[in-house]
Amino acid sequence: MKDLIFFIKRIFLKRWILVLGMLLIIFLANYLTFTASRSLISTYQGNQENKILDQDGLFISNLDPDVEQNFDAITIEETQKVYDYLESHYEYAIDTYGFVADIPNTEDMEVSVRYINEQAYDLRDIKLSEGKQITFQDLNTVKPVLIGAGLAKEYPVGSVIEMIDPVTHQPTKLKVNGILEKNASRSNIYALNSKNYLNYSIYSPIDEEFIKQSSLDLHVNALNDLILLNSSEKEVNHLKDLIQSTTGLTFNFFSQKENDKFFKDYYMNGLQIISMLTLICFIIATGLAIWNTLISIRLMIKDFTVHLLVGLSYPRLRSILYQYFGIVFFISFSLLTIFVSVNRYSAWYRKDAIFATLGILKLIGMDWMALIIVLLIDMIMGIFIVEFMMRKIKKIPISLGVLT
Amino acid sequence: MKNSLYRFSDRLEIFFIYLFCFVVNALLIYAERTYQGSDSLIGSYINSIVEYRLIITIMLTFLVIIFCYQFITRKKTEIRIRFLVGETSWEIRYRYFIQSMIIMALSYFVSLLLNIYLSISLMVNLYLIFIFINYILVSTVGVKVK
Repeated sequence: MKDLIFFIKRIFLKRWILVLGMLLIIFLANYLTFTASRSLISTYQGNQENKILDQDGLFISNLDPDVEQNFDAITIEETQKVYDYLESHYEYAIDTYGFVADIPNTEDMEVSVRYINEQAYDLRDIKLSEGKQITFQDLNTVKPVLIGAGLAKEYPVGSVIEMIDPVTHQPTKLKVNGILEKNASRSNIYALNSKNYLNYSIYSPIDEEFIKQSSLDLHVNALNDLILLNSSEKEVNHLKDLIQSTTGLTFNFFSQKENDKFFKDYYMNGLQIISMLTLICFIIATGLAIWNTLISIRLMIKDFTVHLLVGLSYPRLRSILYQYFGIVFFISFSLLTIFVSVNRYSAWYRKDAIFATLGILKLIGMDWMALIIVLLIDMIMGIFIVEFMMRKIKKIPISLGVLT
Repeated sequence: MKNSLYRFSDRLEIFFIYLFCFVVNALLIYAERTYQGSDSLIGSYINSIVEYRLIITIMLTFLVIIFCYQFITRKKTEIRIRFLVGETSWEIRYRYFIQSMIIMALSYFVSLLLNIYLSISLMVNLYLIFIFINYILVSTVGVKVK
């Protein structure tokens, strides 16, 4: 330990610019590896979550991006006609979000309400940490709901929440039936790596009656995320024409085959490009670390030689270098963890409910997994740098000539 | 380049360090422009990096500090000997400053080829030049006889 402190104080910190440079290079390499790892993990999770949509007869709606849509001209009578037709001819799933309710909570978060119908509820595997799943029988008096883990302390299972429904604008009573798992999330169907966290959300069940009472916002929003089940191309095209002739909106409905192509081709291609980019960046960062190491050897060789001449053995020097680089990597890793944590906390400062996460340092499972990957890569990089440094030092003949 | 503190390998090394900083900055700006607002898989990955474009680029300019620091530390003996054989420290400094500026300017002009190829403004790397001039000026102070 004494040797290590001596080396750090008298040799390494004497050239603090090189230490700082190494720290910055390692931090950059760590950040790039972390971003790529988390992105890949998040995409994998999103893919697993949405695999359920990969079935025959399932079609997902999407506003046609190539057509200019006129939302101002739509009336609620028109959209209601679409829903009446849907109700009588199709099996459809609605899981729509983006509605904010004023529900008091200690964190002062704007609570997001997700409206879900029975078909969508059956389609998704919603896991609870407490309580029971909701039923869709009697939704008229007190609605049974599921709430996010962030609201669980204030609204435990069995408690009743009173709020003005953001869709019907009527006072509503909700009974907490169950609590969602901590950091439960829903991945975007079209951007699998992007997630909305449900810690400050409420899953509110809806039925035909509710849709009739609700506002145009929900009608249009729900059409954007509409899923048709057990349907056919012919039925889908018919619905597409009906929506266009009634509301003027043009939707695309993607079939299971198209989804499959999208998920497999597009995402596999994307993942390959990200992996390649990260590899290239990592090789460059390792190259820079080696360059910095060579400079360090160039400048520190006199100090190393003096110590080797007075009895410092190569194994001891190797051990000191491992300890020193262990400290450098640890500082860089800690900075990365703080950086990621600050990013997660920023959602709390912004009171952004759909990005608010729970856990130690507000980090969630995929953050920790990505950090573990970074740690493993750091270990490999550390071993590589120290061994490279030792090889270089050993090649230099230990003589008084080095000191001149 | 006669009587220069720079050897050919030093010139090459610092030339590529400058070029690396200019190229990375240009590529990040190009990526930012291409994937702006994109929520595709690659888009969000690229955006999570270019979000910190300025910090990354400034961190990379630290490579120039490292080079200048080690260069001047290594050249201490040579500077002393030059002084002993009759050169003034002002002359050594002046030559070092001018040559550093020439190498940086050359590197900048070479990097403009990439800017033209990617159709991005030729001005985007100017702030790096300002930073590098400061680094060179500070390192010139370090060129002294002890």
